[in-house]
Amino acid sequence: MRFQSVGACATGTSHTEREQPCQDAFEIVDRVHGSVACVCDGAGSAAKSEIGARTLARQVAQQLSRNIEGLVSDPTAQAQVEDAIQIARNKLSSEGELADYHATLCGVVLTAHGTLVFHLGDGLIFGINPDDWSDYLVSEPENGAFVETTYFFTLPGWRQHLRVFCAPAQYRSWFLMSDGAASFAAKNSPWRPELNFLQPIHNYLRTTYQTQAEEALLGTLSDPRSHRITTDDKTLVWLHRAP
Amino acid sequence: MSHSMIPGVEFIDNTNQRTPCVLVLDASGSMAGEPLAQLNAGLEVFADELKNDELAALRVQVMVIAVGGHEDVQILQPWTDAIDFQPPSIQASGMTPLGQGMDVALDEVRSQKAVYDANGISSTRPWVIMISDGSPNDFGWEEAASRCRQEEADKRVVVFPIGTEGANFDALGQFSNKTPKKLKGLQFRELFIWLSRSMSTVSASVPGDKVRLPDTDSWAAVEI
Repeated sequence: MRFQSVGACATGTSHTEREQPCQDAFEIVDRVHGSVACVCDGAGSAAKSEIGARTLARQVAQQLSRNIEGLVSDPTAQAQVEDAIQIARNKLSSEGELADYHATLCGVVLTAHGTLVFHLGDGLIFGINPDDWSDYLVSEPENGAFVETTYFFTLPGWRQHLRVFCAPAQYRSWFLMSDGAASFAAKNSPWRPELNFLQPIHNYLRTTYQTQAEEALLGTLSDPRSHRITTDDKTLVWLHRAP
Repeated sequence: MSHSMIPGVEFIDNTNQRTPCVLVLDASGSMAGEPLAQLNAGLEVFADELKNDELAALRVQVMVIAVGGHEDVQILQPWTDAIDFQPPSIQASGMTPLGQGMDVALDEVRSQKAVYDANGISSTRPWVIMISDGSPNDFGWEEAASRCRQEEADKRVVVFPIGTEGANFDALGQFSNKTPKKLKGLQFRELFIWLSRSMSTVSASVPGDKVRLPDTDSWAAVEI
């Protein structure tokens, strides 16, 4: 088993108490030559943001999974990510006002030759060299002057806020998270992995069967201790490639 | 539904987020007596309510500015975390230099934002609550009011003007792009309970969230 992937999404108490849906979504597509993962966080201010997040995650992951192996070295990779986002925009704009579907995007395409990282708005991505946890990459959240503001794929200038880069093959373990999960899975100033949280997760998921791993990750994100830190939805996706 | 847990994980609050709130309080001579007694009692409730909320106690930061009183404008409580907030006792005397008071509030908000930025602390948009029973009477208050509206339009601050019976709502309304609220009787206690709950909601808010605040029926009159 060369590639492993596990994801979970726990609805925050701010939504469960009002009987509102979870506004985070994630999608993972595993192929022989790699995995694609997307984590999307719908804006609380948008009427149908849970649909926006769900659609964006699914469309982008599915689109990019068609050419996993060649994507990391493909000079048109950024254009392909933009095209995938545009497909999600087109689909949603045919169903209603785009502003009703505000959502952010964190995504990676993990292959044996390296990883393509793409990021729009807040949320957080860590790429980790599992042989040396002090060797890691970060794709940081992009907020405005205050934390209430961020950038969404539904805004007119979304391309200006889309960040795309390639990471070397030594970064074999990846964590993608919504801002809710980042509040305890990451330290900030500067952003860096919270080892007391992420290392036990990494060690457990590597050695656990899929169904049990998914349940345990969801159970961890749903722990009451997490709700005391944030009332937001919490999504965490872990990807790993064996050497 | 219960799930198994991944063993050994630790939950450490790394949010490092602040929600600043400035109270600009009218301490002019006309507030003497029962209005000031109720205002002071309301401040005690505000402090207690914030401290009782686990998130708000650590994230909300409070500043109290008195206008009038023994000095024209006095910072009675410099920025402090809600958990450490000891409400000052307001003394009434003097005029109502609300313009100067709001100028100081905006300056302090801007300075504090710079402190947050320099230290890598994220913050929600600051709130400035202005409470008066009268009308601004300092020279140039209209310029300060204009500055408030501009800063609000630029999304740098949220201003809530609140007046008691007899206040000049036309003048108070010039300090914000929103309509000023009128306090029912002397229901400062209910006002500060609302404020603490609103602060709790905002302090737990997340990027992109349009915060749904508690309604103001308990303390605000319907018409002004």
